[in-house]
Amino acid sequence: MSWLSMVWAQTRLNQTVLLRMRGMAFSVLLLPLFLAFSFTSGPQAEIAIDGVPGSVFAAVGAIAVVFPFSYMTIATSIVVRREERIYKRLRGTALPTSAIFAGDVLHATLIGAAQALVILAYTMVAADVPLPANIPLLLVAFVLGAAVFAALAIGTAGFIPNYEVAQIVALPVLLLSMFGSGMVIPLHVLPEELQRPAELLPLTPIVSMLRTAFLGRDFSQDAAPQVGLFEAFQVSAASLGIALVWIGLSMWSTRKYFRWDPRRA
Amino acid sequence: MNETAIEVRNLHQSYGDFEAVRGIGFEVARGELYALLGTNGAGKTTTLDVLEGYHPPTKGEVRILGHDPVAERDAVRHRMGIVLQEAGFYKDLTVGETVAAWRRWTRDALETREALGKVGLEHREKVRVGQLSGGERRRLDLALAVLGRPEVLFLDEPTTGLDPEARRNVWELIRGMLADGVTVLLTTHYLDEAEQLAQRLAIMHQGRIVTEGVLADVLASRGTRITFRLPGFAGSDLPYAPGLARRSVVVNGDAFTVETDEPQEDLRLLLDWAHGRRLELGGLEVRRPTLEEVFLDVAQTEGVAA
Ligand SMILES: Nc1ncnc2c1ncn2[C@@H]1O[C@H](COP(=O)(O)OP(=O)(O)O)[C@@H](O)[C@H]1O
Ligand SMILES: [Mg+2]
Repeated sequence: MSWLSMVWAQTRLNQTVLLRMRGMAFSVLLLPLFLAFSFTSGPQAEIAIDGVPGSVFAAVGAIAVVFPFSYMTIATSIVVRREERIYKRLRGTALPTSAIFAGDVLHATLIGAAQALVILAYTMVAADVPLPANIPLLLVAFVLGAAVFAALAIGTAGFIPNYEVAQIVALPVLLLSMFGSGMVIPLHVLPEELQRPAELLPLTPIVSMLRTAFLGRDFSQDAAPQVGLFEAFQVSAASLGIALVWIGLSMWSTRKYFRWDPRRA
Repeated sequence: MNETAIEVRNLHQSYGDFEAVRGIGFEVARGELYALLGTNGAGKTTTLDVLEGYHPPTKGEVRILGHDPVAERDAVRHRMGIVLQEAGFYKDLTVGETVAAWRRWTRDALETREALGKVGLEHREKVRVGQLSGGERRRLDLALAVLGRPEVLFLDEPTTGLDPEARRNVWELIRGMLADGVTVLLTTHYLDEAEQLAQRLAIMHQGRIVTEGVLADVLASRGTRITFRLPGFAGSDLPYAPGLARRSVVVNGDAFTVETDEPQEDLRLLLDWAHGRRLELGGLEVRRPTLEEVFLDVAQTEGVAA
């Protein structure tokens, strides 16, 4: 029984369980798509925002919105299984804990990837979004985004006492991600003192990498010059750095605060 | 081959400042059923958690089939089966789906139908777990625990909350496992369960083992009881010289209990005395103590000492 096959077994189990819980399945599977379609069907398609064509701006935002949703999927499922002592049962089997984590993360990431593909195809057909200029960078940005938000979910689960609180916590994560990452509104529209912190939020670097990947241009410079395939990775180094710091912080918090068992009264 | 399946040496386990297990030790041979008895909070589940490899011991040492269950998890994990005192299921899956999912990460697993058959749940295969009764859920716990053909089975209060018939079914299953050579460590607060199943047992109280051994020895550590009713008399009226270590007399209203290591002699004295005074000893009985009485004694003496 290889580690990979155990991870895959966990992933499949998570998927079956999700599909059985209709309310949860609705918000996890369809809500991000609704949000994405509402972004991309606005009238702004013609005008450029910060030098990014409106349609691409919207498409990137629509893809990026899947990450806070996968935060919600992972964080709630961890909390529910911990409190219901399903984790205790799983850990009593031959499954290594790493396979439990990996199965949870892979489950949420596959859902996010399927949603991103649907959104990408839709925007290309319906909103004239061009084929992304730098597909490798697009993939890196996606995987990084998935990793950051999975890590955040695991790293914060230790502070979340139950399902209800998990749902409440997911909301500010979603709102901060939407309005603080430059995904829906450009960062320079924010008040001066909020711009710098907004640049450091976990989704901001992912959004800017996705934009560079779509258009092949470096938006950190005023003229947004064209960059080549490899250059695009170089100009994304700062974003990569910020994302890795979030992963690092989450791993530290996981070590310190993650728990497999409900807290006793 | 190592003949000892479970070894526990000077085990201590703390939660923060609170020491839930305070230095216990025992061994269970292969193929034996060992019962840990004790009231709620005695430390049984905490002990099992350590043996099952959920945490390393705060102090002391445990070995399962010769291995450290935490450090050498991979060597033993698939050889043990666990029924936790309390653990959740995915309520929206059916019974069959649950077993099928567990089979995917269980080496050399039983067929789904075979596992369900062992616990008498075949007819519930298509039912959602959330709709099972408490007893059926307990049987599903057992089905998952035996799925990987374990060599060592940990059962934490496997029959608590079951009706008498379901309990007997679980006992049958356990006897079947023993017949196959499986080692079983069972916790319970039902004394008849331990009497039915256990070769050896320990009584735990406040984190310590207070009595340990084969059932007969545990019972023999306490005297035989002579009980009767006799209105209008006090303990000191009986024909027994006071201050004898081998004998104690407890009077509760008109109910007398004489606990003694020499029942024949003490009974003769009592009968002669009653005969001479033409007294009628109501409901006269002579018997060995039950496990329940031993248990209550332990809880009481320890409670007074604590
Ligand atoms: N996770 C925990 N944190 C703090 N105290 C605990 C924890 N688990 C058990 N305890 C305490 O440890 C003692 C032993 O508990 P437990 O092992 O569950 O006993 P039993 O299984 O014999 O009923 C109890 O006083 C209980 O309250
Ligand atoms: Mg217990």
